[in-house]
Amino acid sequence: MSGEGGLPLVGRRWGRILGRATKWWEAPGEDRRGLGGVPLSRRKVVAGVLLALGVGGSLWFAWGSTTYTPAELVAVRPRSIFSSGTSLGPRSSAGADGAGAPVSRVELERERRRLQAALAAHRPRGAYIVVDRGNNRIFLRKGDSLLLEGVISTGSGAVLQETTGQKRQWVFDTPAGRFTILSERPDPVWTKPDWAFLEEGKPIPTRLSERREYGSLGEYALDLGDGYMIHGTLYERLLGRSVTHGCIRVGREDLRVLVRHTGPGSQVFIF
Amino acid sequence: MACGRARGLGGGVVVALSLAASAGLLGCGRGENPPEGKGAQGATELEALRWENRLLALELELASRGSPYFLLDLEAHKLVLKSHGAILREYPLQEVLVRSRRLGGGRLRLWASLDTVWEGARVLPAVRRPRVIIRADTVTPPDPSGAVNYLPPTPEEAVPTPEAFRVRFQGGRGLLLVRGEETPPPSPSPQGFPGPSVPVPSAGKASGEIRRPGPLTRVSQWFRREPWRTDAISIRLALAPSDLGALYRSFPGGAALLVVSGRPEGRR
Repeated sequence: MSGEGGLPLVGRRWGRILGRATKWWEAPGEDRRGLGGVPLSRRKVVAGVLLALGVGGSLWFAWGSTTYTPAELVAVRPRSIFSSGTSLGPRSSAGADGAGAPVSRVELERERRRLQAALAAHRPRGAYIVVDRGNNRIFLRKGDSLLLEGVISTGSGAVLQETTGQKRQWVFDTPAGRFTILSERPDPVWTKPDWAFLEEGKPIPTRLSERREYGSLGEYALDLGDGYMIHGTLYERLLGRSVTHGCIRVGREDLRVLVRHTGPGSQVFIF
Repeated sequence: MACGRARGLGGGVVVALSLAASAGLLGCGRGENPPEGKGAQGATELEALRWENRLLALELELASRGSPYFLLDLEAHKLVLKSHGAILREYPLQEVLVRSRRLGGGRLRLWASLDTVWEGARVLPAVRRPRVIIRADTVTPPDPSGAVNYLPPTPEEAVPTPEAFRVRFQGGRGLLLVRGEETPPPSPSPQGFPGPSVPVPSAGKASGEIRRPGPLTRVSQWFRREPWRTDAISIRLALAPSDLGALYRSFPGGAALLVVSGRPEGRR
């Protein structure tokens, strides 16, 4: 876009500002005044502009940053980063870098196999369960494959306080960490603990038979120890919400898949 | 061989010694066990092996800790949450940009921040989950019909997906995680049979709409993210909104991050 004289079109306002600045610049010395009526020479103005550019540029440089894509990063990275990582991070006990490190290809390959075997020893064998508490999701994995993703219910995070008697307190959280399935129980019976009665506003029974509840844990219960279980539910409409007392409630179909692929000894990761 | 000669020249040539020391391990390796192909190719192979061993050793150390840790592969565009060497969740990345400050040894700090472990993750703004306290004497017996008066929110309702959030690590290192494009659902396999890695449909999916935060909430989120505190090294990652929300809601606080920049072969 250009005007009649081939000049770029600028807004009327900017044109006025430009016109005033030109007039000011071309005015005789005594008429050229800055803010507050201070007389300004052309030399002072040029020096001021240069100073402002210098300070601004320095600040921009100091606070600025350089951005790389991963490909650019690999291309500009110095070779010494690969060859000796002595200044980077913690040294491995295996001596993968620094003094005493293996130097020949044979040694390096032997070292790699040893490290891979050590890492594999940490990983679970067979299928394992992953529970994401923050999103109420369950995953069944085997190696790098994802076999199942399902919606679950985890601990509500509520705190129940007993106001009489022993004045106990329970926190209904699903614990995080690595667990092992201790046992797999079909048609499990729930032996209700004291808090279950307190929460319902009922007196705590003395007889064990009064604590037993049938059917509420669904078709299977996978025992993780300390009273925590992965089990089914009667209330599938509540799946996806944090409503449990610490156990992990799973839908019927998902629970059947879990039981089919895991068993006592299988690993469960809760995060 | 080259090492031996450099040593043989004695203490007079300090520069030569320091150069030999900087490239030392590689040169000695070549002398003892010459590569089959060209010299440069053999050197790169040794570099790659050394690099792999170093990362394996670092991951082994993280796996031994017993707590969850992240593995960020910049080249493969993948962020993986792991524990004991096992994959917990994978978050595909749509965009990766690495930023370092110009001053204050920016480049040196950048090289020192790659292929190493970042410690002490802190999510900003932190996820807040208030606890409900129930006093046993205030509880009333449940409705025998099974009707529920109060339905707690789903995680998506309680903690909506943010536009962006930061994870700060020790030593002025940080991640900026931003909302990318929504990825289409995976298409079914052409044969009509689900592959081994296709997720089995779940019985019940979480219901409830995700509400977009209002302007006031967004301003408060901006303040809580502390964007005025710039990191010396920052990696910007764009994730699909569903992945971003999932990561934000369940980011394990204090987790370590192993940043993997790329194999040495990529330089050729």
